[in-house]
Amino acid sequence: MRRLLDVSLEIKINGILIGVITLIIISLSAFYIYHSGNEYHDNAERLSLQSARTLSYLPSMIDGQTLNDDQDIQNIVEQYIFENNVDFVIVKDRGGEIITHPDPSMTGENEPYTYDNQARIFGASYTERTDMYSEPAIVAVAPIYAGEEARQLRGVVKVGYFESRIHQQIMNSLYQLALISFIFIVISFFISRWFGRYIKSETLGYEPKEITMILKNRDNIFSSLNEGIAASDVNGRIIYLNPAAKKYLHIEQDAEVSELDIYSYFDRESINEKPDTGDNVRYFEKTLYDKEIVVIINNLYEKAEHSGYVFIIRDMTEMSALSNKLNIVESLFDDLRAQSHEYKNQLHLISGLLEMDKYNSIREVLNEEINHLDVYQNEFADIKEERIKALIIAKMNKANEKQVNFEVAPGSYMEETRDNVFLNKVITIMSNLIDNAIEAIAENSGSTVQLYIAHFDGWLEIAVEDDGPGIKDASKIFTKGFSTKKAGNSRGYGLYNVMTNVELLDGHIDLKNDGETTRFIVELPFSEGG
Amino acid sequence: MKKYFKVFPILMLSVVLVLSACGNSSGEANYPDENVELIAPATPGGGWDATARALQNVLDEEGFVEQNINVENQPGGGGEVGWQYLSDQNSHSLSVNSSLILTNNLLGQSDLTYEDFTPIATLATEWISTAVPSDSDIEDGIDMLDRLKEDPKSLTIAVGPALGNNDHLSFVRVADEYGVDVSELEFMIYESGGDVLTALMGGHADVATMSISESLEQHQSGDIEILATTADEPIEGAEDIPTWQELGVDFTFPHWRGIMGPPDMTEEEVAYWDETFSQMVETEAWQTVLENNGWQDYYMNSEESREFLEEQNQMYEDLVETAGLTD
Repeated sequence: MRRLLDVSLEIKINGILIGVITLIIISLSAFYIYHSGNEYHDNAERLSLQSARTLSYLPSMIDGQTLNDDQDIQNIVEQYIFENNVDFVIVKDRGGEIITHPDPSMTGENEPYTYDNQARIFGASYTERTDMYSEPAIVAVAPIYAGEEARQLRGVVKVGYFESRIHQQIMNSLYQLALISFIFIVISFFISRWFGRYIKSETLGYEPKEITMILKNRDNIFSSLNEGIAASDVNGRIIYLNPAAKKYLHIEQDAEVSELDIYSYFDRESINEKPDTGDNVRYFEKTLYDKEIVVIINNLYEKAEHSGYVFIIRDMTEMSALSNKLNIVESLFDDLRAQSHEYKNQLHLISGLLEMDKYNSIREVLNEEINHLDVYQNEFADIKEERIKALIIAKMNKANEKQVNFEVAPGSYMEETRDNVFLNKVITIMSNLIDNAIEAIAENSGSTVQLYIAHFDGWLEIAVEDDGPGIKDASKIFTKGFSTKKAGNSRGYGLYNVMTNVELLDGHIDLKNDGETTRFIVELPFSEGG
Repeated sequence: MKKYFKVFPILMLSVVLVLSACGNSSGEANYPDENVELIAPATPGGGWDATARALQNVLDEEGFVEQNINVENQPGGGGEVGWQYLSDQNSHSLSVNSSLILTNNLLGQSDLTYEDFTPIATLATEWISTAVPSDSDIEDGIDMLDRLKEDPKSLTIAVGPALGNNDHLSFVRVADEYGVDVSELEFMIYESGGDVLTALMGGHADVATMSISESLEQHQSGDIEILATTADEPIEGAEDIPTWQELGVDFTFPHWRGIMGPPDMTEEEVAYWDETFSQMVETEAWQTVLENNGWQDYYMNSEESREFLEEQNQMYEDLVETAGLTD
């Protein structure tokens, strides 16, 4: 059995279809044959009885009180057989003497009354099956009466049908039926072949076993991935989630996914956003259940029609933590570099002053340096967010290098946040704004860049001010590729990046340019801890 | 796709519910609640018609049945037409019957059998006589049988209206019992009982077999002589006529008449008629009917009639199958 089933899908379909159709045709045919066989039989009985009665009632069969001449009866019977569809007719008188018989040599012989006795004694007419004649036959018997006033039973007439003729009729219809059945089976063969191919084309030529294997493998691969993989139809109904995806979306591992909606996890806009690039792949970042994730979206197409989405969900928490740490380390490195430079200068200065024996000046320099260190510590003691602090230190060092004063405005403070996506964007915004400001005034030594950062009614406000030459074309500055700086590659993205990130965080950016100072003010919605 | 599979059983269920709601649930009403049709499967004037009209009168006059009783004549085919008609009626149609309901089938005249109907009652019987002309040299019944045993063709026997009826069968039975080769007997078939009597008195036949009601008057007037009857006891008012039993041929042969209904009558309906007929046969009016027709009371209720029919059918079957086969 197992081996029998171990055949290709096409053969299975062919086998089942042809098998079922053949079974139906054969059973219907058997049913039909059985019924028509019965019908032929009944017809034969009815017709033979009718014929026997008709013959027995024929007035010319009798002559007065007796049967007619043998010759006359033979003529009548012969004519009757000729005109009617019966096999043989036997007429015999009451004594059993045969008057007509299909075998002429039997005429005049005596045939004893056996099964036909009921007709002779009781005048009954009926049909019987008998083997008395050359072959099995259905024979109807009817009594012949003679006489006008008083009738007397004078003989019987027997009309017979050979069963072989009935069988012949049945066989004939069987042949016809067999032919028709054969044609239908051939047709069904072609239909099933076509159907088998159709099914195979639907399964891309794979056998069900192979499909199962592919699906199992896919499941195994997807299950072993750390990245979440989700698929949805075009309306957002989830079709598939791998175990990792379920974990990201906080869905029970054994939950039924088909009732879920991807839009209840991700924004409709982020999903439907038109991709910039031609290959339909796009991504967005999101914080979901304390995890910072990147969702990569790819459109699914079926026959050139958009049919759904595939989502790849990647956990960025660790990576962004790492990158933040890297930023800080980089800043500290810059800081160290700048400070060592600074201290080298100071040491040169002190060494020079020592040469000139100006000890008071040395003391001044040292005091100033000590003060400076204090300010350094105090200026942003209120900024609790370590990564922002690191950024500020890094920028200070950069400013120092460029001979630019960079100070944090008094009263600046910032709370800690756990929203890494938010923080990364803030860092991008601040870093770009401060860099721009430093660049803008780098040539005018003695100029100052001031950073102010504070919370205000659920908003985080960041202001960067410089007293540089200002911006001439204020309306263009936020477009991509615009730069006030001189030519150079990979420039002109700074303000555009600021703008994009501000928009992503649903914030505002404002530029104030009053001729003496240029001030960028950024306001971002801030929820503590979120 | 899955959804459709879920819908399918619901669909099936609703179909089943609708179908079962369509099933009828008509209750039993008071039976009979419409006119009762009494079928006489013969032309007016015959024995069956007489039975039907007598029943109609008695049941009506004595007030046994509240509904009207109508006699419906459905002649043809030795009862066949009327009984075919009955088999399609509801339980408010009944028909008179006799042994023809058995012999028609046995002799290949009909596909209907007694089992296709509901027996209601057997009501009356008359007995069958064997008679010879008054100037016949046949001394008695045994003398006649002896002659026939010697040469079955030596006597012509008048019978009517057809072979296979009770008159004929009863004679064959007697002869068969006595050892006569019944297949050689010379029966003269006349159109009616009256013709049989005429033929006998005119000397056209040596012997006649007919019901007593047809022959008794002529016997008493001396025109014919009844040799024997098929009765189980001497005939009232003609005690001189011997029965075959008294002559030493051990058999009786009732020519009974009864009532039957269409197939599938309920027990309640059958019980109603059992009660009605068991009371009716006790009435004076019914006794008068019996007397006027020369019948005898032969009442059997439904259950008894069913057994009787089975018994009779067996008897006829044996008779038809074995007659003429014994030497």
